[in-house]
Amino acid sequence: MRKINILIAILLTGAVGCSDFLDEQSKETNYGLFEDAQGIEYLVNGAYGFLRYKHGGEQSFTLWEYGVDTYTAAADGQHKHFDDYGTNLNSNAAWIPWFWSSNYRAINTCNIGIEKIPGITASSGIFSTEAGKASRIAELRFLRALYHMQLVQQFGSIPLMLKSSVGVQTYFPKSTVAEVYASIIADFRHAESVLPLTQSDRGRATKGAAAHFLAKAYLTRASAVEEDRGKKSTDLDSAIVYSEQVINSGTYTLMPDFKNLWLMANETNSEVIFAAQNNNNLLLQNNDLSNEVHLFFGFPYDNEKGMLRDIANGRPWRRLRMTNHATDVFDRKNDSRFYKSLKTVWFCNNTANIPLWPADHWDAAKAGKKKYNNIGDTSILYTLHKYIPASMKTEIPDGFAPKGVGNPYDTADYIKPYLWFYRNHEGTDELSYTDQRFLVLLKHLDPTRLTVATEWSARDAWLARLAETYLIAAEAHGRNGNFTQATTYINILRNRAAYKAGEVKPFQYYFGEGGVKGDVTATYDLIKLPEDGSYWNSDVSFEQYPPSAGSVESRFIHFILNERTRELLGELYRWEDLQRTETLVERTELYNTRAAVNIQDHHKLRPIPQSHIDAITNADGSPLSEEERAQEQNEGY
Amino acid sequence: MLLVGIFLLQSTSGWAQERTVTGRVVSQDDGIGFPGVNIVVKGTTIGTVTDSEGQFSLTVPSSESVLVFSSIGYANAEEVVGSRSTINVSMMADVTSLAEVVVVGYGTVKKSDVTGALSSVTSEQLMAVPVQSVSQALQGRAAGVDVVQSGFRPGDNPRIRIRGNRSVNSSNDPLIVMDGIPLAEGTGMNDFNPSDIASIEVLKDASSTAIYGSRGANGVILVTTKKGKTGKAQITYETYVGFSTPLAQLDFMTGGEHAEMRREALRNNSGKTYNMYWADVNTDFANFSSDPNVWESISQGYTWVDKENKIPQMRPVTDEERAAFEEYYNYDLIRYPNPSAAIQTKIDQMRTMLDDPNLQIPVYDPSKVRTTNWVDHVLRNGFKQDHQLGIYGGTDKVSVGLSVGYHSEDALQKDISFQRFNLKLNLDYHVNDWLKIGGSTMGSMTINNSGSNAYFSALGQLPYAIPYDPVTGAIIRNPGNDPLIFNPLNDLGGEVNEDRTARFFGSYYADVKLMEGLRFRSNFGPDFKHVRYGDYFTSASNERDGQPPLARYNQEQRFAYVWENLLYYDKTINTAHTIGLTLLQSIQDERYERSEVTVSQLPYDYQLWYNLESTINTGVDGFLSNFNQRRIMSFMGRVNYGFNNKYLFTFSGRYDGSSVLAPGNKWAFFPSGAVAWKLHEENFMSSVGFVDEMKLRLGYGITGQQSGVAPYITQGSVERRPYVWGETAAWGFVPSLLELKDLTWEKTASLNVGLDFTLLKGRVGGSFEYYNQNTSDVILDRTLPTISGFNRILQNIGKTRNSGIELALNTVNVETPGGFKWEMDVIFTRNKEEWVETNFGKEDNLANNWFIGEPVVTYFDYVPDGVVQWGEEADGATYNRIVGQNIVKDTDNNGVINANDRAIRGSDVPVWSGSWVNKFSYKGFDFSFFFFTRQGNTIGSGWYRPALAGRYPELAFVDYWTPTNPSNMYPRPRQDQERLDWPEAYLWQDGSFIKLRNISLGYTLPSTVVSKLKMSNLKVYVTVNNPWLSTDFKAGDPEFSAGAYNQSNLNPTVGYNLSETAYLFGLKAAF
Repeated sequence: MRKINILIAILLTGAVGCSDFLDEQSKETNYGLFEDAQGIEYLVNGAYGFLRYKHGGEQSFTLWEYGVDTYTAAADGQHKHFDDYGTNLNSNAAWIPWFWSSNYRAINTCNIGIEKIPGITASSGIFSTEAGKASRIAELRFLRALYHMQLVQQFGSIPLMLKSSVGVQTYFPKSTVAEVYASIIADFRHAESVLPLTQSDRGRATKGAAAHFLAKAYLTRASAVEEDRGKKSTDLDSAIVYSEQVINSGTYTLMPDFKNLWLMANETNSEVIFAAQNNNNLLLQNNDLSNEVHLFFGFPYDNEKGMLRDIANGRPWRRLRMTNHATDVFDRKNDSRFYKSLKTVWFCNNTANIPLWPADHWDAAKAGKKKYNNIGDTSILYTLHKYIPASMKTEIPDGFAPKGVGNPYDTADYIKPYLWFYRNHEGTDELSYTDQRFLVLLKHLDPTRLTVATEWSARDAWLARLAETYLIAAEAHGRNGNFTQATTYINILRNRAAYKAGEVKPFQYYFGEGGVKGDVTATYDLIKLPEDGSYWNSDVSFEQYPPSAGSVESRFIHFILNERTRELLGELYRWEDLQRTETLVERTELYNTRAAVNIQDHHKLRPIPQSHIDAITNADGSPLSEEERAQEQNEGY
Repeated sequence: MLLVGIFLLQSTSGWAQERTVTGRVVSQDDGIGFPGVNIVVKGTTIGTVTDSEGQFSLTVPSSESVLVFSSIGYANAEEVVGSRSTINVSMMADVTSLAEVVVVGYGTVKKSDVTGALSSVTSEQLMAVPVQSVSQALQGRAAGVDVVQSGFRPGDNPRIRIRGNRSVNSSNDPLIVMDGIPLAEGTGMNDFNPSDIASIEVLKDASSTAIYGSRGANGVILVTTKKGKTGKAQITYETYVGFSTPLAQLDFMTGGEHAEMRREALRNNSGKTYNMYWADVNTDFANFSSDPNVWESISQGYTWVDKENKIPQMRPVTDEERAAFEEYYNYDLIRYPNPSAAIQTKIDQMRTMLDDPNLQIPVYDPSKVRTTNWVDHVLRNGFKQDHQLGIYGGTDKVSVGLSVGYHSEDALQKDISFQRFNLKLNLDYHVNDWLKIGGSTMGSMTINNSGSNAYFSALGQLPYAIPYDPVTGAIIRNPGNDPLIFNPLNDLGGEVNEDRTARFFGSYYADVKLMEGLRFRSNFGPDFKHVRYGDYFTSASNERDGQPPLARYNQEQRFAYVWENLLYYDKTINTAHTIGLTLLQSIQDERYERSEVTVSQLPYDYQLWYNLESTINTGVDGFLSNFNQRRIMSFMGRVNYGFNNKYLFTFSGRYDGSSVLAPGNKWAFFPSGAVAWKLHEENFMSSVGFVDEMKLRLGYGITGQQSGVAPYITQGSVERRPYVWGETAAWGFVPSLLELKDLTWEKTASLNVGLDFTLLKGRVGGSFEYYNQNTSDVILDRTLPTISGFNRILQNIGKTRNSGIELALNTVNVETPGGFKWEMDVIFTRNKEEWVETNFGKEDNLANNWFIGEPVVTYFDYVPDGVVQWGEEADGATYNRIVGQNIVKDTDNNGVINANDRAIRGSDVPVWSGSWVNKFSYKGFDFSFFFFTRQGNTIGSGWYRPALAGRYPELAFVDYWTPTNPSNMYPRPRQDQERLDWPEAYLWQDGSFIKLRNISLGYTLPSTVVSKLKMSNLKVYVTVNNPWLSTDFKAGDPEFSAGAYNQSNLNPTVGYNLSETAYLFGLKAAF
């Protein structure tokens, strides 16, 4: 029996004290976090975090700059079907579901905050006052509208989400585009009325930001041609009111020199109205959602002699290149925005690998010698023209070597000290620019990246700047028939865009663009629109208006799109601009040769993600039938 | 005990002779005295039988006499008497007999008394093929057990499935019970030494696994290690060494073939870059010279008049060629219907050239273009060695087993290697007549250099590029000057990935005899595993691509323990009724923690990850730590009842609680029952002469699953996302997973019918099983519409079913008096895995690829429908396709190709699998070969989804369309595409294969020779693992499980899917 006692003792030890053996003691964060003020503040921060999505990877150009009139695919990348509208641009294409999911997740986050904030109590901090709570709610409604607006522009009719998810939900009926815009406008209006003019935290939504996007939303509604966006007769007036409110607020001013907009030192400046925030702290970046746009516009300069990859010149992922249309829609001579938006010269940063003149060069002083010697010497040069005026031959920088008398070698290697890429302007196709060699947009480059290979940039991702507000105001006035006022606003931007008196112009001014070397006169008068608003009364070949643009109104719309190219080139607005003005198919077909073959009318909207259609159900929880699934999809996909 | 009676009848009494020998016979299974063993002096009728303690005494005629010990179910043992007066013998179970003793859950039974479906694998079978891991040894050895490679790195764990998959989210890995201790999920058994294994039993049906309740749903693998034995100490030494070579190499396009594909891609792009229909020097130079070494390779295809000035030998075109070029021209007219001025110029130029009756083209021979075999630069011959030393012995009171092992492999890829050290000590001590204690302690250390991606990277190289600069000898960073193609040689040495795993595992028990028939036993099993992952990337590595070096240091610690208390009660009433009762209480606790730090800008390389604070960076690149714990608590009871040794019944019930499930849903009850009927004990069977033994079994039971539920997941989770206000940190938290308030057990109810038999005096043995397993409340990671803000949720929804048959047959085909023996083992498994209900009831769930009647993992995609051929222009036009473009099936025939045209393309589950083992033995020689096959499974292979852009290498089988090659497989290459249209449609391929798993020849030296060497046994052998593979799959070894559908897993050659043929030479010695 002694043994039995031992046994019983052991069994009891095993059983006693085990009543809580199966209770979990988590070390992780969970939903309880959102029950107090600190947690809600985290949630609000989280809702802003989704703003990084747009610039956070290849979605940036894929969804916003591919398949348009101004940019087209360059050598690399897995998403060229977004540019050429090929078969693989279907409901399973990458980015389609991811963009959808990111924005809806952001919206759900906003909704949780909007619902929870009223019940939060705090003894200090922003949630201790009703005004403070209202301000945070207004921020979340601002963000919710912004995310909805990104979605509706790409997908058209979508489910409108104004409540947070509770439990498992699978029934999501679509709202009409008109309903979605109505909700977006209501949210922006609320935000505009509650938000303060300025915020102590850089990057928080302000009254000005809300007004800018509100104006844009009204303008978008008013821009509808065939699509039913619920246009109201007052929309253009509303767009004017809110855009002018921003313009006249005194809070924002245009940077005096367009060139300085792109300096990292100026990533926050008086022109920026709203931006997704980034900085250079590795631990505060998340690799899938940080500003990576700088990667995509470059050409592989680092494969060329005299060059190696460095931080300042960036990582050239050669995803996209300008179209001829975009290149030629600029007054490159007088409008400084072209050469201030693009990088055309690379300087030697690698003396170990300097190219040599051919050993049989006719100039014995050169034969077999280095073409140049020092870091900083011109190594790669892009021009728009192959043939330069004879008068300029002696003016070519860096000792452009003239063709030798009787020289049989009229090849580039013998006459240029640097690698020279030119566009054969005489042909309809570029010959010398290729998918690997093209003009590089400098707007996103970031010389402050921590290492050569760092993929994320500290650059704030601008979502609204004052120049665009001017363009919104101008477009609204023009659509309203007030071409004089439209001209006034355009000219404010043109004034900034022009070379100033005394400003030294880039060498291309006289090297191909027809200027005279040493000319430092102002160019504003040359690019100023006639103040009487008559610019759109007739065709201007330079504007490359499509054949359909036969009226003042139509020319005005296409002009505005061109002006947006000139001002906002590569700033990830383009696909939305064309979608908004319902000119996507027409303009892309005309100006993007890759896309021209495939683009069809249905491409004005993206396909609804197949993963969404496959996962939703009817109201009773039953799966959709094949017909119902087809119903959910946008036409043509 | 019943057997004792049978043998007593046969006993004869010996008579006095010159010498008397005494001794004791024990069973090798438990070291306990073996009663009733028949002992005969060979060639005479002199004999005796052991008593109840296994003791015997026998008078023998001379010292030359040979004693033969026999007992049904055990292998005969022979001993030469010699000068000995005491002879102790250990009887070993005979595999082929039903009388074998096998391990079952919480005990052992005679195989003849087993009521459930069980496959038993002996040490002899396990060791027949020299393997690196225990799970590899199981392959093809047990019906219903599917063992497939998950990768071919030496440290990779094969995937084991018993009777298919039933869970989607939960693991389908079987429970592994090591010396009675259930191992923690995911820790695996590959840290253990296969040489230490005495036997493996696989419990397959619910009636046998239900006693493991919650963890038995995927079957149970009971591993029993070798133990010390009473009697003469035995010292064994076993070793093998050998080398290995690749088994299934990929066959790539040669330099000449690839160059022509690139030309085709450039002829067909939007700019019509390669205007010439033939190989043209200047056009080639423009497109192949950005790396001068590539141009050199291409130029070798031409016959030169003046190579410097690019003047080739020319020749007139033939009529045949001219006709072909006209086809090319015709194609251009279709391809560029509205040509731009530039394209029109190019087309006109070709027209002019073709109209020239004296057209000349260069003399060009593609086979002369230089081809680099890149794989040769990163592979070597593999090398393996294995050493095992064991000492086993004991006295009446104590038995001891000690083994040490060392295994080492240098894999085929130059920077991959694996080493394992094992130590095991086993001790059993009979303290007194009522207390027995003991246990085994195992320690192991593995060092696994998992290597870089060099092999995969080598497969991605252009055949006409070269690795080293011919002038300087330096490694060319981007061979072919493609910025996306990195030289694999940068990674050999540039990247170090080393894991060190230390594992300590113990299984300890105390066994108390409380009264006659009543026994208490307590088992305690601690399992400690520590893994350190170290990664180092030099600045030269492709990962860093010139950036400063980076190191990652990751430590993982798991501590699990199981504590079980058991009561056993055995009683026999009136000899007719045998009753066995088992009661169990058990707790199990698994604790896991991990930390990781990543640091870059390290000033020197040789530190690896051991001096991270030397960084010249201002901080770390990243850090993390995490923790989790899961616990299970159980109560179990089992009754075994036997009547007249004819009818056997087992009933069990287990009550399990799991910490990871939602509060209120933690506990579940798992009952089971089984009945077995020994037909051969029936009188009516006595007339059926050819049947030795025959048993019919029927079992039913319920088991549970919760392994797919991560700790704490039921509480929902939020995800941290960084953000900033200007330069100020602004941490964000957003919801990531919904709370799971209802999550509970997934349950599998299984029915099993089995028949075990031995026929024709043991010449034919085997078993047949039929089973039907229905899993309900399947824990599903259900895809949610992301519009809800959540992308998935774990729920108990849906039903799956696995049904199938298994046949295991072992036969002795030939046995001659001369000693020649031919034995054969055949295993056949057919399993049907299917969805019975999804969350939509009887309807499919498209979002998750769940289809009623189809396996759990089913591939659903477009179906390739060839290439639009000349003459099919109109058909193509319906779908906007032109000649030479690929097309997929319009399965619903509505004239549009969209998501509704996707169809089921297959599953990763084989339709059937099997193995066939043949063993021949004659005198000391034995020869065996072992085939293994899986049939009817589908694998996704990225190699079948070529880019056909002319930029990347393609396999040789990729037959693409050209205007003169009407391939229906792949379209005409096009330079400005990244992938084919509908690329995923091309992934799905039949993965059926037959492999000769092993072929082996051995020689056991005669005992006369061996005894002179003071050895008791000596065997030498040579064996080849995986010498032969037969398959239609052309992109490597199809014996590869990518597991669940996962884009990143699609390519079986990602990472290191390089199987090998190993040639091994071995020796087994016993002293």
